[in-house]
Amino acid sequence: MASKKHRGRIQAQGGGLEESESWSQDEPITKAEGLTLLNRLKSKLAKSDLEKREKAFEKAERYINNASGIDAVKKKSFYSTRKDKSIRVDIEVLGGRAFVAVILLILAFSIWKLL
Amino acid sequence: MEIAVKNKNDKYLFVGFLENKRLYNLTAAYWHRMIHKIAEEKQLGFRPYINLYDTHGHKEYDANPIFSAFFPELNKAVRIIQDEPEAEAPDLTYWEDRIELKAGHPTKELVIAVALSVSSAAEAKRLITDWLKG
Repeated sequence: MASKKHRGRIQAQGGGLEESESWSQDEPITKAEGLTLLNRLKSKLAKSDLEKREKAFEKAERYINNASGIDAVKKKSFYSTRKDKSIRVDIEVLGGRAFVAVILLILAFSIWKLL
Repeated sequence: MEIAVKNKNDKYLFVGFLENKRLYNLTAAYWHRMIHKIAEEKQLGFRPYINLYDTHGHKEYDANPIFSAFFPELNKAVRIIQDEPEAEAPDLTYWEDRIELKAGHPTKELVIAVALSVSSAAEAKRLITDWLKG
């Protein structure tokens, strides 16, 4: 299957855990879709794994919320504590753009239709 | 693999780099020099693979990462995340990861999260040298 232009992954990693949610699509993923993936990833974790990454998930959520579109390639690692940096949440934007506001996406699509 | 290192009698380098853009750029140049020297000894080419700019073209100064290098001949990468020193935290933690720079073609990635000191810099250099053995 051919890969889509906009792709990426959100991962919960470290301490033996390796869970992820990914996207690959023709349009940039929106902030809302990114947050949905983040929540889906959280729901896959055991309570203890989630507790260890509580602050890491908060930082990842803030990163998505504060983004005004992120261009690939971008990879950020968020930890709950510096005492154990390997227990983390990673956000990877591997192709295209991610975490755009819906209004920007509609505007871009409208301009593209006009051209 | 997730390993942490701490030496309590260490000398820290570039302290305050997150608050001072000039110091930040000197720190990034330090990593570039280190990795360039290792790559030169091994006759390897490398290029950055992480976009360090935001969508408005402004450089990000969060050091997450401060430096990245992709070595195409080995299909390996190194990503350096730097923090300020913290009393109870290890000065260096590293792990291996994968990143699909090209869809369906994973690249092995060494990630070093470091508070830069004389000891942690030496350890980072050793780790990167070992990583690039082929």
